[in-house]
Amino acid sequence: MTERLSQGEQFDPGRVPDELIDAVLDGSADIEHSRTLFKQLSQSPDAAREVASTQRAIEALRSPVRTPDLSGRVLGELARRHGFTTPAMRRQVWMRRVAAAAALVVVVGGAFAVQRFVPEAATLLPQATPVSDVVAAVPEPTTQIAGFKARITCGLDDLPTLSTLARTCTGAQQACDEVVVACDADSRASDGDEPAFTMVVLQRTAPRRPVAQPVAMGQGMTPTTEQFLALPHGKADLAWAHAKSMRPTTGQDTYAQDTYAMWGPASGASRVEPMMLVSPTATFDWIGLSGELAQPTNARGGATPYR
Amino acid sequence: MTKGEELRLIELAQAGDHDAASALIRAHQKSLFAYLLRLSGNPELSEDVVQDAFVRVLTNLHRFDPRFRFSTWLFTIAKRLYVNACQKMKPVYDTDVVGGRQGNGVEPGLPTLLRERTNNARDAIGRALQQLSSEQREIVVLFHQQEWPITRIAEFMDMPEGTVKSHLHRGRRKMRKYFELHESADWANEFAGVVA
Repeated sequence: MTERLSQGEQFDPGRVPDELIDAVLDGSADIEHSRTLFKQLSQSPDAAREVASTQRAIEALRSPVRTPDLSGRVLGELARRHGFTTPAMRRQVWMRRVAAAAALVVVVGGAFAVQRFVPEAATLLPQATPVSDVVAAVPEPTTQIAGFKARITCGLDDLPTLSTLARTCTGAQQACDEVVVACDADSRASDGDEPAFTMVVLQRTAPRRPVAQPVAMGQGMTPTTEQFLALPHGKADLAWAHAKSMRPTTGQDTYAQDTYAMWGPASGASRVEPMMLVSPTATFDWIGLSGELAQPTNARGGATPYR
Repeated sequence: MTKGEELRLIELAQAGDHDAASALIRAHQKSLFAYLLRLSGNPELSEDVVQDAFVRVLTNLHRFDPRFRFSTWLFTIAKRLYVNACQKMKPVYDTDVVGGRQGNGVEPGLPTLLRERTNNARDAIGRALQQLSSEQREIVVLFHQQEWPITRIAEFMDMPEGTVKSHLHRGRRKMRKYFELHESADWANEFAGVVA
């Protein structure tokens, strides 16, 4: 929300501040300010006409443009320039592939030989526990169990959409208490726009389990599974969630790291992806639904009973 | 297309796979062309820049840093080519041509008058965009047409987010005024023609 608008600010009837209109058109207004705008607009026909006209202009701007298929021309030009890469670069790519294959053969052969002839040497140090195992291994109190927990495994390149989560949850024929998304940590996670979260938990009520303890985020509220499920399937536009990373160290210890993820559609994409990590002090709330997402294409996993 | 699929296509294209290169082009040419068309108002120039941008990108795929978005890289290169092209020849924003290139997004069977009005609205937006400064126009197009978030636009244009918002708000207001003016003028002309 724009800094110039304060929470619960009252406006004179018929006066519609530009900041309010801008915030709503930018999609940065919260629900309360959106309601305020619509209320003010109902008392100011001129401002309502202005907003409607702006929306028509935006719609016109978004109207489809007939685009010629330039792939043939581009590929023709590339062929004329003797391919995508220089011969030296191609040789380099080819040599890297050969080197990788050779290294693989050496590693596999070496491991086989060690296991066959020196089996005691093949016992490695304690292995880092996969994130999903760490999550599953955390003790769960048995006295407060109700409903189902949906667990979805995914990779950073294979993230479930919000509608996938909702569908998985309702697939258990019962609303979930929690939706857990366990993603593998990735070395790329700390850079660029790849978020470093390894687990996201959406809860129905206050935290119940050690692994699912979101900290209240500023003045925002933790999204519950019920709220999450209330989102129209396939129309979820933006939602935020608390993420708690459980990272195994080389020993058996783990450490937890709180991060916060905002999920929203990537530009031009038809699925919800983690968009950004935000500061723990940031305040987020449910944000208006405006986009329409296509059906999810990469769902994996399913609902499992909560034991 | 997911980022993983895109990276796979980039790897294949880098190794000389024409199908992968073609898939990459098809995945991005529409948004890139629309962006350039709205910036320049010139479809021929836009086509040339899109083609040149893809040729450059595909011949330099080994320089692509997978931590960043492919589309941002592509748009950055295309924008530089567009600026260079503008320096060579000063393009005139030809809204009639832009209007002629618009796709027909109207359902069949809609009354002719309404269809005409929709087309006129598209022409009006072309004329309205013409009134904006180049920065305002680019930011309005990136935000509303390409649906880029403010943070991404700020990075792309190397500007503080506050400046981006300021350009966006001013540009949008200016666009609305001219759009309203042309829209109502088109509608009046059209109505007069029908009555006559």
